[in-house]
Amino acid sequence: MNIFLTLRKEFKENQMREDYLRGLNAREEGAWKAFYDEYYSALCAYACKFVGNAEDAEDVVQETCVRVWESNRVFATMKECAWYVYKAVYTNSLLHARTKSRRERLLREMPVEEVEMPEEAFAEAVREELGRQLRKCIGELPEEARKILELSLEGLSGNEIAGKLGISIHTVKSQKNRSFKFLREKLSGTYYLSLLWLLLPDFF
Amino acid sequence: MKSRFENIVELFKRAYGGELSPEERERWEKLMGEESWRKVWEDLESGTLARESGGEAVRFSGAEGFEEFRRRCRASRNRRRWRLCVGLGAAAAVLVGVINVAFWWWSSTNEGTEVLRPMVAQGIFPERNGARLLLGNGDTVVVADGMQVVQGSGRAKVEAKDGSLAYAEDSVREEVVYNELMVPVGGESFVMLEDSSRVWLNADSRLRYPSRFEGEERRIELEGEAYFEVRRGERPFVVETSRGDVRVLGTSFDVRAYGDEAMTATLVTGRVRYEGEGEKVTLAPGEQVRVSDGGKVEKRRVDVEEYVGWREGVYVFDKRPLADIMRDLERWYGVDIVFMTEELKGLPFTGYVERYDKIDTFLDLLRSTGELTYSVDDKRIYLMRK
Repeated sequence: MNIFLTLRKEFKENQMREDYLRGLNAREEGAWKAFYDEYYSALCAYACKFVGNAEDAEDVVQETCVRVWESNRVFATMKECAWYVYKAVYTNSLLHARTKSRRERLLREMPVEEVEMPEEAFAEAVREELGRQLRKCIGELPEEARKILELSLEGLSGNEIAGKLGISIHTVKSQKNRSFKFLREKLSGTYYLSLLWLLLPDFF
Repeated sequence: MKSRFENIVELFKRAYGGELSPEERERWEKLMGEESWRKVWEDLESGTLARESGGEAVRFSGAEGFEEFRRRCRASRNRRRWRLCVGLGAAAAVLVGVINVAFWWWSSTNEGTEVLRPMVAQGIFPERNGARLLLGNGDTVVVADGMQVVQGSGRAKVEAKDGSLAYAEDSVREEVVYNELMVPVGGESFVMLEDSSRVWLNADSRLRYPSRFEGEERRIELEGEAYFEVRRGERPFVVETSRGDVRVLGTSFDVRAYGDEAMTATLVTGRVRYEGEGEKVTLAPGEQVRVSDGGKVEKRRVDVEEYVGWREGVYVFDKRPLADIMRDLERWYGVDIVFMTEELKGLPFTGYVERYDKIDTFLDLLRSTGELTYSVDDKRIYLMRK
């Protein structure tokens, strides 16, 4: 039963991703908006590491996206698209940092495949992508569980969170454990029904 | 081929879930030998990454970013137009087909520039084979893709969809003769019968019908699959199949009667009655009668789209075993499917595929479920466990 559920679920998600990807390739507005919702902040944070400030980072990301949009490039998978854009942002960030002149100097043709990337910059891209996916999973948590998780990430203790949200320490602890379990399963693709389980009332 | 980026992201995610295989563990240990990767792992484990990315989302707003992006696109010298977004609802299915074709055309005109497309199946498109019309007078007419058959009273015509005539029987016949429209694997066709009822024939199907309806019933014979829009009339309209008759007055419905699988009749509007050997079943819209190989008759409610979507260019599957899905693909793409792993046949899938797309899109979708993989040898496709 489980295998069937995931199959079905994954299939649907894939199908959605296909439509989304097709929309990106066809330059459909809705798909690009969705792309911005998903990737924009991660790309900006990534660019920030090379250009040093938020304003320039946003500029580089915007110009990169405009170039991709203008080009005839199409992508076979969403992952390929993501990787391409990370790499293009990296390339453009370097140019931006080096010349300090604005978009005119940014690589027009973007022969991104040929760009050599140092391992650290590569690892940063992986790090950014993992953070992005993690945040997406957190967004799927039920509201209370998400709040508990976020407060705990900010460094609040179990008692502080319990006080702040007006719930018992046991609830905080068990919800937190379930949330982390959910994140681990969801991210590694072994998630079956844990979200349902997460929604069950707490009797402790 | 997956990029190294994809592989490493995947590896991290599996490690985070504690799901590494021995082979992955080896790659993982190697990766963790390097400072920059170890740091990424520590940040993921400690929650630093989750906290940071939450902050980034607040700092850089996707919605605002998109507004700016739109402004820049509009100002761009290399002006390119936005395309309208079309929903994927059933009603839009035909439009989507058109857009999809347009997209493939668009991407194929850019070939050789920098398109990175894993060409696994060399793009097997549906063949769009022409159908054949066997006339009672002994003539055979090819009904090419885009053509349709219009049966006038005692006179058959083949014309293009824009109305231009490709063939017309030379003399009007007094006596009733039987014509036969045969659609090969990879084809589809359309015929308007003498009473103005309309019939869409799916791949690998055969429809035998009279040049004029006479007698108490309007009776035709079907082998394969067809979608009917029957003109309301005094006399019942009867679709004869090898597994019983489907009898209607005026409605739209689908009959699927391929010799090697269960026969189904699915009702979209109106009312139909199935009459088999001793069994009679009346259907309401959204209901289906299914007659199995062994002759077992059952009535059930179905998602109609799953059975009539083909006419509008989509295949819809709801928990359909892979073997059944593949049979449709064989008929449509003219390929042979070979199951290297027997148990794959029973695996149920739910999904939505565009019929005019190439077969790779579908196979890649299947593969991406992680359950199976495939290889292609000319027009033979092998499916196996991953």
